[in-house]
Amino acid sequence: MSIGTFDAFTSARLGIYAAQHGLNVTGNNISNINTAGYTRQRIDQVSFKAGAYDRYRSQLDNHVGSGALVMNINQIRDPYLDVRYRNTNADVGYSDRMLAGLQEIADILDEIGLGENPSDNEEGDGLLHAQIQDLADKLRAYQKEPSKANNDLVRTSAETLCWYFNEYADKLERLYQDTVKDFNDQVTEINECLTNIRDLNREIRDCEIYGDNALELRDERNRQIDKLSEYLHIKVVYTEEKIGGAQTVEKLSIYLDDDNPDPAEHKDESMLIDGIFGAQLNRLPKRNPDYDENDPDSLPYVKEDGTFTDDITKAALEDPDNFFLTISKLVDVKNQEWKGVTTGYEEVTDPGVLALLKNVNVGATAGTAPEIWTVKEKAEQAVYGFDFTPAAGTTWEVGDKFKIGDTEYTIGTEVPLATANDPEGMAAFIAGELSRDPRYVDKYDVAPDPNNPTRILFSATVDNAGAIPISDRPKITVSSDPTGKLTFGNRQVITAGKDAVLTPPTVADQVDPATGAETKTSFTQINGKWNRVTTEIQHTKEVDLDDNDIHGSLQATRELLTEKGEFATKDTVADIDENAESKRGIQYYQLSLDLLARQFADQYNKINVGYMQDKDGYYINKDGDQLLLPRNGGEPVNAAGALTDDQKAALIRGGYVLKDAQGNPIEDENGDQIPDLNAWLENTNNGAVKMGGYLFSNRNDRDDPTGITAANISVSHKWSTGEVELVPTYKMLFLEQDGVKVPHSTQSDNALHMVNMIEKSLVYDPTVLVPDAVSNKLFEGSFNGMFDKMNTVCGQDIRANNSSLNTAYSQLVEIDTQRDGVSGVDLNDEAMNMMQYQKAMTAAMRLMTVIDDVLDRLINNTAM
Amino acid sequence: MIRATTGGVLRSYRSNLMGAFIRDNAARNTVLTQRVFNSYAEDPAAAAKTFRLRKSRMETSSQLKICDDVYHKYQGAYACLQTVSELIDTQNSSSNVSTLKSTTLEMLNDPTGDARTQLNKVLDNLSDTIIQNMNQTYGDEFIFAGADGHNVPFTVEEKDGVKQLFYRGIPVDAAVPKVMTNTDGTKVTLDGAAATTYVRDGIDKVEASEVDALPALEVDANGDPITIGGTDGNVYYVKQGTLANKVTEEDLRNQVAAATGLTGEALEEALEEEKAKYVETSEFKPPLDDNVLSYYPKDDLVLKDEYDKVNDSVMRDENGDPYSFTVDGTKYYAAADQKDPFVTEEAYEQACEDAEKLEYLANEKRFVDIGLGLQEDENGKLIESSAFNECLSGLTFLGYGMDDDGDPKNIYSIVQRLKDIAAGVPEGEDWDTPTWEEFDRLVGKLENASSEYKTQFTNQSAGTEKLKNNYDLLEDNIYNLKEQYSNLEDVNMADAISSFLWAEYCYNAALKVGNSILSQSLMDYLQ
Repeated sequence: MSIGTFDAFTSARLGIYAAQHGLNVTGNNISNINTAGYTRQRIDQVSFKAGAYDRYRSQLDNHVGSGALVMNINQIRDPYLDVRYRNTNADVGYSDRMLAGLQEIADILDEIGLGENPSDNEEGDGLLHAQIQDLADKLRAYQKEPSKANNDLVRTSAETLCWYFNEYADKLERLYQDTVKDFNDQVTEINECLTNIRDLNREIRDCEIYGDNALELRDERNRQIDKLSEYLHIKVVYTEEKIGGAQTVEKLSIYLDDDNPDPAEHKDESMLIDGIFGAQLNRLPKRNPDYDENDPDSLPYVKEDGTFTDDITKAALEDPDNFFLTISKLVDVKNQEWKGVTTGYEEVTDPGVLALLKNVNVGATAGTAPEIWTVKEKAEQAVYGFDFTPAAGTTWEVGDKFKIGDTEYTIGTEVPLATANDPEGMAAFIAGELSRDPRYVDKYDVAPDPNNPTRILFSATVDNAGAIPISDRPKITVSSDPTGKLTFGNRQVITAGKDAVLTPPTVADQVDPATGAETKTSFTQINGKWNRVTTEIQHTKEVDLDDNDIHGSLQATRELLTEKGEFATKDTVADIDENAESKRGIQYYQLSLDLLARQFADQYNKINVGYMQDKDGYYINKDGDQLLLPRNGGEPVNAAGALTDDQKAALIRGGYVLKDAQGNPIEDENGDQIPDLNAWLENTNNGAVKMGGYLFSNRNDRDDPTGITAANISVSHKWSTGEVELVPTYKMLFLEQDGVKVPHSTQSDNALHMVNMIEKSLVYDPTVLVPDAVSNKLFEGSFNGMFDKMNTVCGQDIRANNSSLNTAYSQLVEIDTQRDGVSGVDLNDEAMNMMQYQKAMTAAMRLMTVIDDVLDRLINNTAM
Repeated sequence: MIRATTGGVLRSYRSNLMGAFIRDNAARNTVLTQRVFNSYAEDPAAAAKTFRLRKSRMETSSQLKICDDVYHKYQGAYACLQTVSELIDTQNSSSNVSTLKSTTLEMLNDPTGDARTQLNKVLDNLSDTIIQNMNQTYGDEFIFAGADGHNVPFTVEEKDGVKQLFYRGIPVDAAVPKVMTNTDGTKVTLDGAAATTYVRDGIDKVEASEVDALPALEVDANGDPITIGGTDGNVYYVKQGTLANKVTEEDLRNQVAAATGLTGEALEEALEEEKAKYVETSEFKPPLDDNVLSYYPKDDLVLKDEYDKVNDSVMRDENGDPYSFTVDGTKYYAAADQKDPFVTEEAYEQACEDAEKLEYLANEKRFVDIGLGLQEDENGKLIESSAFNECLSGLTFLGYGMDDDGDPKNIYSIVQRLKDIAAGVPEGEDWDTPTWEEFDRLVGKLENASSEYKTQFTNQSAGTEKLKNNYDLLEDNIYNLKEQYSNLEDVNMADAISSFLWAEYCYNAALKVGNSILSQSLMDYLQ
């Protein structure tokens, strides 16, 4: 045994080093116990042994290790938990953002516990809810006593109601605008994350190339990925990337995680990060349709002013209401575009092509579309020959043996002697035997060579003779020839044979419109077999995402901004999202409130504009005579009655039909035009006397009843100034003032309509606001009922999202705790490690002291 | 979990602590707000239900106000009607005020007419007081004005000493005149009238042929028929163109002598026979005042009395032409001495129109929403059973139009007629029989009108009762609705406080657990 004098010092030193490393790592772990995203580290310690064994070493010379080496410092992470965490984080992000948005809507519309009703000394009647009833109360008073004072009270109440509509609409609009800002902020934050991850990938890659694990950078990258996963549901893939010299480094790629329910849709799996390349998210820009990638002067985007730009952030937005997103090209930090090439080989198994290969006589062309192969050159059969020698006069004798392939035959036993000595007989025997061997069966004709009686020829029977492998070519050898006179000659190639030569088709290059990937196809022969060579060149390109391609808080924000529920258009349901009708965002509530305001204004405007009637409800002219329809010989028209067929026909003849906004006649389900009595009454030539005026307008300084929304509903100018008042009745009995018919002072049958309208069941039709809406019935009921419905829908959506959020959040906390169980720092653990490394260091130091003592004794105190 | 780390445990603890704090806060809010839920999201179904209940309460409160208003109006109406009732026939024991009924009875039983003038004034005053009562207001609204509550319903116009009552500008006695019609239903019109004039039904008529058969007469310069006094004591008219046929006795003698050749006694005898064919007339002519006898052929003269009897049986216009009309092809003249036998088309139509208006006003409706389930049909027409008709028309109570006898049905009009009849009898004179009978008949009509008034008064009282019941019902509804949503919204304080205490206890416990988590570590035991 030999001991290196300072080996023990080395062991002690390495032990100290290792323990020191351990303490450093432990200290680092403890220091970072509260660092967000920190993954606990540990040392990768191995036993070190110097020296080598050699053939001539002494058997007694036992090598001892030379201490411990710290090979590496690792992180401890569980990728599966990361995947689960990020998936769940997207769910949490979605539910949390959606819940927050809905909660903000509820904060505006939910009137639970609000409102004080001084007349009843009640609290909690709501605001808009109670105001509708206040208006009803004032209308009842007016109906009971249709005086100017009561008219003014109704107007004041209506003004307050309008104010509530305006206020709610304004708040919802502000919420919408805030949410737009939030959406843009989220896109910005996502882009920051993507940029950070891409840059971190690059740094980590560089570190790895130089042998550094870059643990802290990985922590930061994981933190960024976790953050990203809240905004977007992503899939993280780790692969090895060749960097040359047979060296690989880890490559991290991030994809969208296939959230579109349509399995044929793959844009929802688009790549966001590929190693050092990264993409950005942008609002879908308006593109230059004439953009030419190869023209340096051509610019891809259109600005608001119609000019072009290559800066996507300055481009005008395409379909801005739908908040569509596009993923930019993958570029590295130097803005160089990503490109990926993969080549695949696939043996041609097309039966048409194979048939062509076998059957050379099929003609000029054959095969299956679209790959049309053509015969360039026919196949030739291979012929192999074996010299059948005994020399002249010599013969096979009983006991001689020969082999066909591996099977041995004995003359006189398997082969009669006469047969053996007869070339034809022998050929027939061999042919029979070959037919039993699967390697040769049906591949060869066996016959004596007509030009050489001592040769047996094996002519290939298959067309692709050139393709017969050598192992399948018959081999006949003499295995036992006691006399030494007999032999089969070596196999001779009489005719080499060759395959049919085909001209492979030319396949045009293809470009995937979704991914931009180019696919080039060619054909080549490898080992005699045709292979289809497919080269796919993936170019990075902009990917325009569909409505449902993403999931997470960004999608929740998108849905808050875009989803309109029953107000969604048929085109949206057909082209964008088949479930759009059941998804409701801010716009649903804005439109619902608009529809309520529109319905309210339209109904009361309609009630307050009419035509003079007699006491029985028939329309009359200023002289009190009933109006006849048709004017000559027709019948009177009752305001509360149905038109006769003749009257309807007369209206249609006169062009008094319902028309759309463009002035085109509207047709019923039978394709018939719909008579419009109001248009007839409106024509002063027909003698009707118009009464009243609009109560509600789209501005309070106008009397325009069109396009009323919750945001603009106002008491009309004329009602405000008193030029128009509520019309208590259209029925003129027999009073006249200054030659004009006037109603009696407390007639109020029309005012009773107004009272009844408050509780009347009305259909709320989304197509009133959105002509192409998928639904034509949002709700049927009273004004209060409609507002109640909006709140109930919101409340139920909040409950559903709250439930989803609680579930997802609980899972997230659980997974995070589990993840922490793997990757987190534990003080007990670290305390143990600390003690362990402390002891180890103490022991190593002690070892050094002992060694020092020993050497001191040996060197200084050993008697010479 | 294979490994529990400090961070993991803290994270888990933090999450659970937050949960405990949220629950504690929610329980505290429940106690503070005393509400079971504070948003739709907490309980959408209950929230929607409470808003429906609250809306119903507000609606019912509003209806209650209307009901209260109408109820009080009806109470006011009741007071007015009660007063009127007392004025008609109920003696007010406290004030000894006369009533219509008592006054008319006194007048009927006052044959000497000593107090008739005074009673007439009483009658007039009473009828005016009735109208004043029927013009009472409730607030700004005239109670009995129907749907014209801002204008006084009853007005009285006096013309030529006759008072006429109008309801909202329509004479209350307006009635559709009964006119004669042909069998084909067409109205019989007066022939030759300047404007279309209808013939009242029931007038006496004379066949025109009878009158038309009268011969034409000689007339004097004034156009009057020339009358001839016969020595037989009769007065004759001379047929037109026969005046020249008058002869003297001498002329007759000469004619007979010439015709017969007789003379002497024989001639005188023949002359006497001839005279029998003539009417002998005598004329006293100044200056001699001789009685001159003249002779008219009998066929040339018409007995004045007979002629006049037929001729005067028909009414004639200012030209002396009889009023003629044709009924089913037969021409008639209106018999003489009939009151108001014709009515012009304009007056007829005005009367029809007024009668129609009265009918409408008497049955006028004005519905209000007092919580009967206000509803309209698909044409927007009110379903009347779903609202309350609060219209009170004075006509309904006092009556309107004419009865079959042509007498007014309105109490005021009847009284005015009675007054006029009584005034027509000179003061201090007895009733003549026809006048008394007419007065008596009208007193009977007043009785009928009074009876109808009481019926309507009773109906109105029933309406008042219905309103009272409805008012009570609405009040109950409001109470019930409040109770219902209170049950849904308001917390049971015992439960709420228990829950809060439990939540707080849990939160405190969680805090204590946290203290132990943070304090325990192996680090603490390292030397």
